[in-house]
Amino acid sequence: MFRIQSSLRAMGPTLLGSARPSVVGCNNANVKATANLVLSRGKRTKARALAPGAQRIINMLSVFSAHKKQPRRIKLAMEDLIRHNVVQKAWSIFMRDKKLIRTERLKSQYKKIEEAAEELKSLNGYLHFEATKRELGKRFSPEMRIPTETPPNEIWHEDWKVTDIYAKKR
Amino acid sequence: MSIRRAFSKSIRAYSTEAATAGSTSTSSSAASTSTEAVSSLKIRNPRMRRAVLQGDWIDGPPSLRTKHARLAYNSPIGLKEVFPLAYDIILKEKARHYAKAEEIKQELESSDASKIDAETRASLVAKYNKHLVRAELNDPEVQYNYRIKQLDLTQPVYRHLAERDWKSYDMLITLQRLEQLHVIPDTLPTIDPRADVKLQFPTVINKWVTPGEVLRNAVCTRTPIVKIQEFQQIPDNSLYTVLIVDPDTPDIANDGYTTTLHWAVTNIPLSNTSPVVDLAKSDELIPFLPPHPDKNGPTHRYCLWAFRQADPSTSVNATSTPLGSPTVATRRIEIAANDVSLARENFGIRAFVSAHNLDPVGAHVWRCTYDQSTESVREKFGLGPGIVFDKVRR
Amino acid sequence: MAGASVSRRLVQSSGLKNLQTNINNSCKRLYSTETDGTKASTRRILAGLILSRTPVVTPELTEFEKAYYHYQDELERRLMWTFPSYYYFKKGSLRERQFNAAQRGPVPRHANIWYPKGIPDIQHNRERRLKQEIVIPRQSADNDGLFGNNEESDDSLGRPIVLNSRHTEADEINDTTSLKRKLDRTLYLVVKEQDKNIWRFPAFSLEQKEPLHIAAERGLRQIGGVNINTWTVSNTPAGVTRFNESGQVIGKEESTDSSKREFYIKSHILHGKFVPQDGQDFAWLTREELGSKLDEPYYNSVEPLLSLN
Repeated sequence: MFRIQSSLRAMGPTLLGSARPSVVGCNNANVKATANLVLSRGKRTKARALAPGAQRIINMLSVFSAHKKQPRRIKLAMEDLIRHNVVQKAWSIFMRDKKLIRTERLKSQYKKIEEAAEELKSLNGYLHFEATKRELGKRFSPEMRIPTETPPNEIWHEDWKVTDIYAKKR
Repeated sequence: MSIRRAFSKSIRAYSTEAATAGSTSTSSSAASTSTEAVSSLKIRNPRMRRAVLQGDWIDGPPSLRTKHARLAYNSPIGLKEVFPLAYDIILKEKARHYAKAEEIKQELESSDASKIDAETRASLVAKYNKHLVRAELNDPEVQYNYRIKQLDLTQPVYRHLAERDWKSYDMLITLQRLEQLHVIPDTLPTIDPRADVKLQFPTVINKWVTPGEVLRNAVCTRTPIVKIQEFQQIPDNSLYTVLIVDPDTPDIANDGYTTTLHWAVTNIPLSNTSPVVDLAKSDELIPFLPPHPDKNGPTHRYCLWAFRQADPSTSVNATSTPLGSPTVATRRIEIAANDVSLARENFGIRAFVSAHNLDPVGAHVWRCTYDQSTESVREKFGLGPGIVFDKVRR
Repeated sequence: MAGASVSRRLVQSSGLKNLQTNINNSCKRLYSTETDGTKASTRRILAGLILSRTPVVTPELTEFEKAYYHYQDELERRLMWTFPSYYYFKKGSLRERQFNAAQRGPVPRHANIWYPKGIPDIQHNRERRLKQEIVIPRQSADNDGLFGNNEESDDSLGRPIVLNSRHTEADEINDTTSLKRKLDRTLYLVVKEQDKNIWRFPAFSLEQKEPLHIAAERGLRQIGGVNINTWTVSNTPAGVTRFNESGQVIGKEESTDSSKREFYIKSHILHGKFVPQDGQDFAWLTREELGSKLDEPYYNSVEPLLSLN
């Protein structure tokens, strides 16, 4: 932040309330005051105060810049590095197993669907045709909820009526 | 502080000693799937073992040298809680791999193993080895031993780690130098690198020669120390051959170059744990001739080739092969020292290799040129005055 | 008449306009006598319905997952940038003072002092080697006009955030007819067949020229009332179970063309509840509970169709 301040000072009097006559002219009062108060002790001087606009820019720049705001790098001891790697590896094994179970499940479910469709075909052509027809424009219902960490205030809308659909349409 | 450092040094020295001692004793039990028996898969230092497995230390992690560093160290929050659960998963995975390896072992050792054809058997052996490696690879103790370079190469997992390291750097450097300096195909047509070949001269203590390096003649006067590290499991006392040739010997009569044989050793017994060439146990056919290039001549390449004395009669599918080692190189080569094919001058390396059915597994190269020490080397070994080349042929 | 209105509503609710004529035809036939043209095979085919209530809350985490997420969270906090309080609070303002007063500052750094945990590295009032702990100043509603004075009001911005429990009343009394039970699991609707006294997924015989998914939806509304909002996953059946004459589950090899078959259509309940029209027993059960409720061969034949969670 201090570095920014000094670089702004180098830019000239437009941004900073300097002792020299300002081009903008908004700091004339300050300039005069500075000239009077330079040597007086114990009183607050405005010599280093920035113009409000400049201060705002500095604030914003300092928010964006990484300087001094980043934490220090994590330096792990060898023991902890090994322990960390073990944890990461265990996590990947855990996720792999989880995915494997899910994939196996999906595979078996797909086989079941295939088997049912084949059987339906051999029994009744019409039902098979209806069951395997392409459902164009089919999408998830917008009323479906995604699971959340805690339930909503109304956990389940039990008093739903068929007529609610008409109410909504109107 | 100095006392502590000395202490830790002595501990380290002790542990490396123990590692080498342990490796020789456990070399036969490499294929066994029981982990408890193998001490090289554990951390030797009990304090360190506790630190890695329990995250349990008095003033700080013992791997940090100074007390200040240990005290100021902050372990990441939550690691101590998650590690035991993660370690359980790793142990379960390890048990799973060992169970699979045991299954394959049963299959290979069962009564109808003779029906398995060579290809299937090779793939099964590869699978078996893979499971043994995977079982131990993520173990924190193995990882620790790997980090402190305490590798017991009788164990598949350490061989895998060593091979991975070698393939990621040293092998690439060697191959690049061999190609750039045209060792391939000037000496042998090509190379399928399977062993880490290293070379050092007794005159320079503890410094392995980087492939392609230009050495002073005074450095290369004594017989080199050669290390041939195999990463596959090999039976103890497998036999190897080493040749050093110089393909840049000027041949003025034919206006070209010939190959000179500088060193030839056969029947070198090697194993995974003792990879260094021991001349006392092997047949040195041609003693080492120090490099002595001619003045104003070109820089000479000194190419070292290492060969397995592969035995064609014992192939991979032989049931006598120990499980997990696809290589058998136990064929002895008997060559008289005055054999015609072993003449130093005009040595035909390709003819020699094909005549004795050698399997090149690794190579190395260094270079020498005429320098200040050449004359003294020539004088010392009685090599006579060399040719002095000039811009104009006389 | 009632049946016709049911199916009209059904069509409206599921939005399958193109099937309207189709279903209207079938409804007309509901009260007419079955013609001889009904295929013999249709009588042996039933449309089963696997109606599920998808989880309302995320699944329970295992011990390892909890510990791992905590560890990762802590790592992230440790690597987080310093909070720029000077950006959010105007210098010299009351808010800034309140904020600063609430913070537990880091150990300050002085010269010639031995710090056992290392020399502090402080920037912007943060120890940069550690995670930054921000304390949000707590304000009572009384002395703060901004957020309103009424603490009891649910709409008050200043009210404390209270998370709803994942464990509900229905869990306490284990009310299997409630949809508010086991919020982190998928629940499946099973009904008791009164005559045989066994639990089954609901299954319905087909009307003439009626596809399986329509039959399943129609049947559900016949036995469970019209005030159920469902979403059919697919027209294609998810699986099939075969029965012999005595109602035993049989394998594919033992089945003949004349054996009875149930083809299962999967559907999710979105709103409303199942209200048995003729006092039939029903239950919303998880996969494990189904295992103990259904007979074993039947459960084994339908278990692969259920979701893991």
